[in-house]
Amino acid sequence: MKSSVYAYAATALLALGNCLPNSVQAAEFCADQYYVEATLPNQSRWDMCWEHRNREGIVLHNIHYTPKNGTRRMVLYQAAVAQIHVPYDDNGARYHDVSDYGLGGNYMSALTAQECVGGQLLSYSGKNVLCQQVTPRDDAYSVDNDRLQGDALSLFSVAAIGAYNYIPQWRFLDDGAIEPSIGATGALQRFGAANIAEHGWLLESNKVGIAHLHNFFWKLDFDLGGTGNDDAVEEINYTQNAGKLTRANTPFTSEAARSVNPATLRSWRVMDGSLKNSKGLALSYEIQLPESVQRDVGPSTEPFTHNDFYVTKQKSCELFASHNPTTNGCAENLSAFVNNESLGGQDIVVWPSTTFYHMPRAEDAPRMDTHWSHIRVIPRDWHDKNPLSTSAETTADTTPPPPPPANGTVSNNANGISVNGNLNDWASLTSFGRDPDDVSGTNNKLNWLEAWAANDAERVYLAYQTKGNIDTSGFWGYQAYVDTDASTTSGYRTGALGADYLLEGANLWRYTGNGTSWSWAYQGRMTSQTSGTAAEFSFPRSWLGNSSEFRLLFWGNNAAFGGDAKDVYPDGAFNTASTTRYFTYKMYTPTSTGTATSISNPAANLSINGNLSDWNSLTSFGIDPIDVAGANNPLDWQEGWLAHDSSNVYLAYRTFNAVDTSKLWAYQVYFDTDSNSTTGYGNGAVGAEYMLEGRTLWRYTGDGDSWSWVPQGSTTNAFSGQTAEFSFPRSWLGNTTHLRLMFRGNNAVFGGTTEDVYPNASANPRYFAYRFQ
Amino acid sequence: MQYRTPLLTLSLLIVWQNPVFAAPGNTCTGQALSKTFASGASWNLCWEPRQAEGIVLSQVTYKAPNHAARRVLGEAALSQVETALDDGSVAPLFLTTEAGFGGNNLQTLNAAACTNGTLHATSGRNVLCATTRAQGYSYKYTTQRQGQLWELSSHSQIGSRNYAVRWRFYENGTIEPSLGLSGELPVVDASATQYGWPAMQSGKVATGFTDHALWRLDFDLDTSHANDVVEEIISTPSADRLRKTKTITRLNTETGRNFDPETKRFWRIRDGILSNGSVGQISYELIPNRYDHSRANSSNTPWLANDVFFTRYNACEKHAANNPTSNCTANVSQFVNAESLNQQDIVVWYKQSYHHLPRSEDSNRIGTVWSSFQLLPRDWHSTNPF
Repeated sequence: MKSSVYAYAATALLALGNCLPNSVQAAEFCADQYYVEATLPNQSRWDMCWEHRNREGIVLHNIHYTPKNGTRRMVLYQAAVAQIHVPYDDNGARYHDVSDYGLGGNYMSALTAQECVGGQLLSYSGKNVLCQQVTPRDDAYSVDNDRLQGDALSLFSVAAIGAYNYIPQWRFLDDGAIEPSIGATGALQRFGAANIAEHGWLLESNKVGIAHLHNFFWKLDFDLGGTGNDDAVEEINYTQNAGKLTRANTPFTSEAARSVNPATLRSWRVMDGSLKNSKGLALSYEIQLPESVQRDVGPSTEPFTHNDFYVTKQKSCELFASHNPTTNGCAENLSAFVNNESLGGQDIVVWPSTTFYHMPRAEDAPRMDTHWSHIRVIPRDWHDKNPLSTSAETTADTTPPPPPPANGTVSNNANGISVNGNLNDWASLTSFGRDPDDVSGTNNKLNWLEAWAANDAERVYLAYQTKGNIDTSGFWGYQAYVDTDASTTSGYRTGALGADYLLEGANLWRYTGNGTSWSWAYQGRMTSQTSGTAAEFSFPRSWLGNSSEFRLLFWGNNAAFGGDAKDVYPDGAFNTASTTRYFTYKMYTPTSTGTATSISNPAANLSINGNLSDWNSLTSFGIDPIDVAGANNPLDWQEGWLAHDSSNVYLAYRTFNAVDTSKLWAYQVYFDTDSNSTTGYGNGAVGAEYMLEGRTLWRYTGDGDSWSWVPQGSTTNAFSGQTAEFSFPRSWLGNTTHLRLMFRGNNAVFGGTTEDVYPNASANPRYFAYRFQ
Repeated sequence: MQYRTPLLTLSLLIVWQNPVFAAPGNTCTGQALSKTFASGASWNLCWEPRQAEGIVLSQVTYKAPNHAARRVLGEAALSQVETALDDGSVAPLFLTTEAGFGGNNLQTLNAAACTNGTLHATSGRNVLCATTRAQGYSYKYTTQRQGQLWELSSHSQIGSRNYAVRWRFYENGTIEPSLGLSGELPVVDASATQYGWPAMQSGKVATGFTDHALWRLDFDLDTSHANDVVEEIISTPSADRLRKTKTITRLNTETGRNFDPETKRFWRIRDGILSNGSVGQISYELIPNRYDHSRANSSNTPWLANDVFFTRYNACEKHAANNPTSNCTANVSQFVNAESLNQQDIVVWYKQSYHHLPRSEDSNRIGTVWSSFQLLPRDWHSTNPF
């Protein structure tokens, strides 16, 4: 931990002054006056030479990095800005500022001490052209209480080209990273009258600042470890699938032009062919282009803009990304430098680029604040460990990241469960695992052994088994805390949970407090049955806010029986180091993605009474998520069923809110009986020959577009709370043997704006298939 | 069909009604902090630590020299960090809501961790460091000016990883939020090399991971929070790609949108009424970063499917993902439910994904990796206030 950053700059300058004459490297690659060397406060060291060129301005070469207590190695043989290409949106100008003007010569500004704060000015031909500074760079790393401030060597010059001032800057960080950047300030170069506002932005005095791009290019000639012809370049991409990100590294064997790809998280790296770190990994530098969101593919006459990253064989006449001198048989632009030459055994050069799209704003006049563009060049396996820390490696047995995840999310279909105190019907389902027999003593009769949860579309079921017989005289001691929003910031904080609900005996409570107070509102009495060591419960899903997943822990308080033992299940619920601090239950959900494979529910004796319990053994079309919200959008489909017998069709649905029988026309079910979307009423999902709207079945008579229906008849129907049931003769659907159907809810009738379709509009197919057999 | 007519009529004639949402306050939550630069530019805001988000800023107001102070943000926070391991061995975790940037995870800072800055305490612990830094050139033309910025930073240790949340407020009105990743690698035993990098001395594979930082920015431009609009600005290339033509479209209903290099798409939040006294109307625009990782979404979740979501303020919409569902929907893709954005209280949800492929350098300490973006004033003033 650093005690002071304040003294760093001064120290570094002193060090520089003292070391420069003694440095044996000083004369190695250039005259002393063009040699820059800085030992950063953390004892990393960078040294390099610079030269002045009329076009590229300051060009750096023989760039060496020496980690603290490490080996001095060359990273870059040469590094330069290779073009600033500035096309304007009105096509009134397309500048090539480096090749056609220049960052050096007369364009290069003389710098003053005021703009090189705490730094040192370096001169060329009697003009101070380069500012060298050591500046703090915020955290180098931070973990627990081990925190280190980092620093960087920074070199910048300024070139005034037209109204623009460009600031090419190089930062060399004490962890070996390099950050090339270019700032742009000054004033806007081109304005137009208000009639070309479409090509820019209207500013004060009715002037239009014309929008333009700055395409920045760099030429980086890496010679890792000092050898120029044994480097290799590869591209890193990922494929994404099923929660996994799979890396693939692809080497370039010949020159290439490549682009950023955010879907494959693409980056590149330059690797040394022989040097390896202590782990056997090749020393390399990785290049990332994080600021390429406005990358621009220009016209066919500017093919060098068509890619973001180029790899070529080094040629001394290839200097500029565009308007390159074509003497000596050299190509005119970067895209033509890439001409399929082999990279094997060659001196390799990479040309990264990034783009700033400048849509002017009022604040850009009369002076324009500096906007910056950066690329990222970081060492990869250049070191064995973090060069700024001596701490030991992270141990290999590090547990997975926080918070400790609950093991094994459980999900059970409650089909067939009856709440009768007999747990046989749970035998095929997955429990939360066995809890050890870990409580003893006569007054400590509450000793959890195992618990289960299950659900169907309507209800949640819970069962547990204890070592001794369940004693309902102290039923309050049998508690389960349920966290339905996976958040400790809401609900009663206990263990790793913020419990939004509490099951206590047969009662279910909802938390109303501030997280620590014991404040619960009564939610209801569960259906329950105990028998010996077993207890079973069920209650409506809505009692848990219709959540799709919850976490729970069981807490047995033997104070209910005069005992002192508390049995927690899972055992680690209150141990922060435990990997299992709660169980996770995920509501069982039949698929609801639309079904091309048809469902068939031959059924007898379905009674139309609004109670869907007689549909339990039938197959639904799956759960539709809670996908509409707002007070005026109450119609949100939850689940639907179709069934038939020899003469009738039966239909049932459940919505997340009570069915509003005063506005039933909002509840529509479309039937496509010829499975042809081009016949019948086309609603985007099906071509419907029939429609159930509210209580009435309608037949379509229009041309596919018009809203033309004649009534087939009024169904037998019943409504109860969130559920609705219907039956009508199969002949009303033309005695079809197959059909497709979809549900559509229009909240406009309730004053809302959201339509809920089931299956969802994103499903494929957008209908459910049903067959009568 | 007797119901069709009412339906048509209704859908055409429905006058949109105000649902009863808890109104956002104009009062600061937590402690007030301010910074006045020598130039006269100043920032005023309040900050408070919360269990989930860590430091939350509210009522962020900017004043340029010789101009009136105006509010920019009603509230701003890192609303969620979802972290996913490359090998999918653990389901993605929601660090904000499942562990928390606040509470005990919010680190106590000592003077050495706040060099040249000022420590600010809550509940007797120093958790926030405020520092004034030089930013280099504010501009350079015939004359030059060196600028300054004011920085507020905090650190949260979450498991093995350490996150710095840093807000930079520039003299010229620019706001730059950043998330710094450091600490130690979370898992160093991936099942296969393709899910990480063999960065460990033992040859074990350090697992790669993606941090999705989901920022919540409740813009309340100037005095009224409820009259802001969202504009999408694109510049469409001509067929020969020599020219671009700008179009500005108001986004009238809640939506999720993506950046698009082809059209240079960007957005600004504009006050519905106020002009800058000249031809412009006061606004802030979003300047993104980390485009190169922006389509990371290996589990294909809807809340990571867009770069930016625009919603109308709803008090219970706190976290872009894993939002408590007792009164609200669960994530930002569901917050988008066709409510109007026209002259409303706008909330911008910006997603910034960063994938970290471990390297040998990370095997003992992850060198801090910053992921930042900017909120830039656009026509906030009629000319450059400096």
